[in-house]
Amino acid sequence: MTTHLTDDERLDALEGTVDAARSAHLHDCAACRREVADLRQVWDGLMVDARTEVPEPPPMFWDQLQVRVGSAVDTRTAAWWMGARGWMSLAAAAAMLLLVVSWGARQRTPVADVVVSQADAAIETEAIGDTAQQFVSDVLASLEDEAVHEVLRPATGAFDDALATLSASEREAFARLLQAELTEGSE
Amino acid sequence: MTDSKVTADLSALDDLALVRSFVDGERTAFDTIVARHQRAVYQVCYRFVHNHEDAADLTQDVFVRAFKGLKAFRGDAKLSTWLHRVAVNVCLNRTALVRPGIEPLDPARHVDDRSEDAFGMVARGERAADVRRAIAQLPPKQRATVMLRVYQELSHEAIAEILGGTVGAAKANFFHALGNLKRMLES
Ligand SMILES: [Zn+2]
Repeated sequence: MTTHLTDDERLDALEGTVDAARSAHLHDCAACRREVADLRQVWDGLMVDARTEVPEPPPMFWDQLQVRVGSAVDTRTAAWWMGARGWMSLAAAAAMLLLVVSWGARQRTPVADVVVSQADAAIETEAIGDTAQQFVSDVLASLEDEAVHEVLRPATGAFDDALATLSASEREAFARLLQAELTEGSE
Repeated sequence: MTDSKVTADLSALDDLALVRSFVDGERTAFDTIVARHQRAVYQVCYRFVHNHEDAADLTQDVFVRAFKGLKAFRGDAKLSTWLHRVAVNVCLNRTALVRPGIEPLDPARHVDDRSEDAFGMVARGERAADVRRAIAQLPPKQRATVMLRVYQELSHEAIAEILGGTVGAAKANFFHALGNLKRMLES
């Protein structure tokens, strides 16, 4: 008497792919036949359901489905495009910020920075919380796109640093540029 | 050229030519692809969820996925095979999270009801409903394996490729699923 069928071989027996030697064992072994018969009972139950026809949907369904699919792909394409435009606008704004900052840095003399006292520095830091930074913060907070958030989040510290180097009028100029770019981008 | 003329011309194209036309920018070629394959895709989806509403949603998702993925379609397999694969992946992803809402089976819908009395049909309908309830209780991977092997008639090799892992593991999964179903249907 050879060994009983393994689980794998019992499945093969159920599916009719067991090899000849193991098939011979199955023929002689009541225990293995019973195991395979149990599997077949479950399989037959599954087949009762699997052979049930898929019910035909209402006749109008196919036309409606085509419209639904068309709307879905067009909406997604539009959403991607709007997202891409918004992101490009922010990128353009960031590029402008760099231009303004580098221009602002050229206008300052290193000596002026050195002579700023600790007290003045504190005042300068508090002054950053003006309309320009508030505006930038509001814009960032209003962004719903996670990906854009992730891209911009590491840059917010850099924004703070960059804004710190701007005068009040430069910050206002930047805010106006950013506002104009975003307004144009969302149209 | 009128819209109806374009549609008529596209309908004459085979699947591969339709895909090429779509990738080249002919958006209406995609509508023709949807019209041609929506019934087959719907039937695949219905097998996973056994109700019209979810099957319709899944079918829409499949074509949205196809819209984005068709550019990568190389024509190595038939479009119908590729769409079947997309449908299976969408259904597995969606149904892994939500257990299927099971509609009561209409026994009169059975595909093979030759010489069967009313009692037999009802009994078989109840049995199929029991089977579906049992399948819904299986662990996700076993349930997926049963759906693919029994309802989509995929080979163990194809199942291993879709679900990941070896053919042996796919067969073991299916074997354990049958064992679990047996216990559930007996209790
Ligand atoms: Zn044996």
